[in-house]
Amino acid sequence: MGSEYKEETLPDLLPLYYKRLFPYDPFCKWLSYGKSSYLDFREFSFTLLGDVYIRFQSFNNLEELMHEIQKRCPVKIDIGAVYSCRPKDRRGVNEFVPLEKEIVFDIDMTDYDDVRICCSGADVCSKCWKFMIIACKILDSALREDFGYHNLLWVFSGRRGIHCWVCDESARKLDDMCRSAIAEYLQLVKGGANQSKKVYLPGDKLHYSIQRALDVIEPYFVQMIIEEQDMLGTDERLKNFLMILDDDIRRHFEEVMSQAKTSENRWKIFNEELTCLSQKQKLSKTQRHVKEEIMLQYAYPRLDINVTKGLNHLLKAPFCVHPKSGKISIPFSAKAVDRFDPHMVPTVSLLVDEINIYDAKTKEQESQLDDKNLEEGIVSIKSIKDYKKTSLLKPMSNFEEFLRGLEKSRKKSEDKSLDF
Amino acid sequence: MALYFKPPRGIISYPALQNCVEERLKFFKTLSQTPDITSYGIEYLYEDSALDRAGHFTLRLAAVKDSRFLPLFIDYETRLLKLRLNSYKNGNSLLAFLKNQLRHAKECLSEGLCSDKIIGLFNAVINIFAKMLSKSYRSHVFNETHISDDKCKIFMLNVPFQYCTTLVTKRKVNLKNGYVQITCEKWLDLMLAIFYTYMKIAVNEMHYSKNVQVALADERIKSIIALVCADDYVKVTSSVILLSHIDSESKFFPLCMQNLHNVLKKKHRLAHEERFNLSLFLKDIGVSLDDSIIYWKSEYSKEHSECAQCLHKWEVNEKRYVYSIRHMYGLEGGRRNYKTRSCSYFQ
Repeated sequence: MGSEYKEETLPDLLPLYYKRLFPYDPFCKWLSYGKSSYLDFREFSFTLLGDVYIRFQSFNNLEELMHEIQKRCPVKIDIGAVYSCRPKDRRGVNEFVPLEKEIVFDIDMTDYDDVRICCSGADVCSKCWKFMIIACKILDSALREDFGYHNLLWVFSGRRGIHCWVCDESARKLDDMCRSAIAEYLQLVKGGANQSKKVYLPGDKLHYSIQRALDVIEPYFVQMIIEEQDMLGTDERLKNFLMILDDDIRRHFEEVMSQAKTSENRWKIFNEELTCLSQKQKLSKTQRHVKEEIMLQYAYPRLDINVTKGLNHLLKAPFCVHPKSGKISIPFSAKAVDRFDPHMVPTVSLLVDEINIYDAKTKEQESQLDDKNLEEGIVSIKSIKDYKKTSLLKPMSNFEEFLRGLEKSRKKSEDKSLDF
Repeated sequence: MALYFKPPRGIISYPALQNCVEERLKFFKTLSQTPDITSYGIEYLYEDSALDRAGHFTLRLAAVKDSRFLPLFIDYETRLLKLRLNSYKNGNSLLAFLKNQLRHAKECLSEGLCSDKIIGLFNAVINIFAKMLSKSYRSHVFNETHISDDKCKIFMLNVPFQYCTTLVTKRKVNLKNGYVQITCEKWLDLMLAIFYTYMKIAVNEMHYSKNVQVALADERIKSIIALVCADDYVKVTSSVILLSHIDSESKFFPLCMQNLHNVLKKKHRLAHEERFNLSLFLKDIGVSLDDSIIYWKSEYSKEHSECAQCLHKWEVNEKRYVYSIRHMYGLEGGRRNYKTRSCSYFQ
C-alpha cells in the first residue's frame, strides 16, 4: 500500500499536500452553493502544529482560502456555520449570529467499544467496519425517505469513523429546535458505556423507521455480532447481554443460556426461549420487543447527538489529513459503502509519492519527445489537476458526483415555485 | 382554545395586570398538582379574553428574562390548551375558535411585521386550519362517532416536520419526505405540536426586539415578573454538601448520578459527557468549587483501573480540568450559571 506513513514526516508532507493536492476548486464550489458571496460568511477554524487553535477564519474567495491554508499548513481544518457577517470582521458588529449550516452526523468507532472485541480504541478492521456500513445505510435511507433530503455527503473521518453532511438548502436553514428533533428521531441508543440497557421500544407497534433499521441490521446480525464479535462467547459478555433483560426474566434466561458454551448456541437458545415465553403469553407489555431492543443496542448507529444539534458546531472538513493515521478524509459513496475499505484509504505519504513518480515520468517522457509533440504534451499535462494523477481520483469523482447533485437540486428549486 | 397569535390591545391598570399574572401562575401550580380544572380566578382564564391574553403575554416577558422559566411556561400553556381542547362538548365551539385563530393569523400576516419564520408558520397554520374547517373534514373528524384509532386514514394532513417537531421526536407519526402524516384522530396532537413550535419561535425572537428590552426595563413590569422568580419553579439550593460527605450523600442521589459516582470511584475515569453531567449535578446540590476540584483531582490522579494506556491524567491536563469546572460555576468564559440537565433530558 505504498510507503508507510510516519507522523514525524507530517510537517514536511503537509506543505506539499496543500500546494498540489488539496482540491481547492471543488471544495470552494461546494461551499459557495452557487452563490457569489456565500463563502465569505462561513467560519473556518484551523488547528496548527503545536496544538494552536484559531477560530473565526473567513475568506472572500478561493485565492484567499488557498493562500492562507498554504501559508499556515493547518493540521486540521474545521467547517463552522455561515454567519450574519464575515467572521473575521465580527468585532464591533452589533449582531454576529450563526444563520445556516449543513446538518452533520459524526459516528465514531470508539462509541462501539463495548460491543466489539476485534479492536478497541483507535483501531479499526474489516470486521468492526461493518458497524459503519450499517450506520451509513440506516441513516442514508432515513434522511432520504423520511426527511426528503438528497444532497448527502458521506466522508471517512480519517481514522475510525464517518461523517455525513446534509447539504440540502432547506436543511442548512434549520434552527436548533429542528436539528434536535432530527437528531432525537434518529437516536435510539442512549446512554454511555455505564448504562446496561440503552434501547427502549415502548408501544405495541414499532415505528416503521425502526422496522426499516432492523431490516438493515438483520442480515448482518448473526454473522457479525454473534459470530465475529462473539457477543455471547464469554461469561462476562453473556452477563452484559443478560443485563439488558428485565429482572423478572433474567434469571430464567441465565439458567438456560449458560447451559450452552458458544455464542451461536446461546443465541439459538435465547431465541427459542423467547418464542416459547411469548407464545405462553408470559412476556409483559414492555417486554414485547426485547429481541429488537437487543439487536438495536448492538448494531444501530451510535450518534454523538451534540454534533448534530448545534447550528454552530464545527466539524472537520473533508480532504483533511489525519495526523495520526496520515489518511485523507475522503468522500465515499453511500451506495457502495459495502465495498469501502478503511485500510485502502490513501495516506498523504502515498499521494506525495504518487505525485513524485508522476512528475518523474513526465520529465522522462518530455525529454524523449520531439519539439512539436512537446508543445502538445505540455498543454495536455497542464490541464489535468494533480489530484487526478493520484489515488485521490476515485474519491474526487465521488465528490464531483455529489456536486452535480447539488447543481441539479439548485436548478430544480429555481424552476419550481415553492408552495406548501 | 387560544394560540395567542395576537397580543391584547388597549390599556390595563397595573393591579389588573398583576392579577392576570398571579391568577395564571396559581392556576399553573394547581395544574401541576391535579389535572382537573379548578374555579381559580376563572375570569382571568376565560379563553382568549383580553385578560387571558394579558396574562399570557406578560409571562412571555418573564420567559425572556429567565430562560429557566421558558420550558415550564411552554409546558403549562400547552397543558392549558389541551385542557381547553378536550373540554369542548361539541364540535361547534372548537370550529368557532379555529375560525378565530385563522383570522388572527391572517391579520398578523397582513400587518407585515412578522419574521420569515413566523410567516412560514402562519402560512402553514392557515393551510391546515382551512382544511380542518372544510365541510368534509369536519363532518368526519369532529363527529362524535368518529373512532379514535390509528386505522382511520381517510383524511390525512401532510405537515412539514419543522412545524411539529414534538411529534417527530416522539415517533408518534409517520414521516415521509419531510412531511409528517397526520391521521384524523391526531388532530389534537397536531394542534399542541404547532403551538409548541410557535411558542419557541416567538419567544426566541423576543430576545432581539427593542420593544421587549424597553418593556423589561420598565419598573412596573419588573415587579410583576418578579412574581415568577419568587415562585419555587426552580429551587435554588442554599444547602452545602461537604467533600467528605459526598460518599454518604450519594445514597440519596438519583440513580443515574449515583451510578456515575460509583463508576468514577471504581474506574477513576468518566467519559466527557458523563463527567460534565456529574460535575453539574454536584454543583447544584451544593458542592463548592474548591471541593469539586479536589473530588475530581483525587480520582483523576489515580490510574485508570481498566485501561493502562489512558492519557487522561490530572497531572497532564490539570489546567483544562480546572478551567472546565470553573466554567460550570460561572467563573470563566460565558460566565453563566449552568444548571444540571433535567430528568427528561436523560430519558
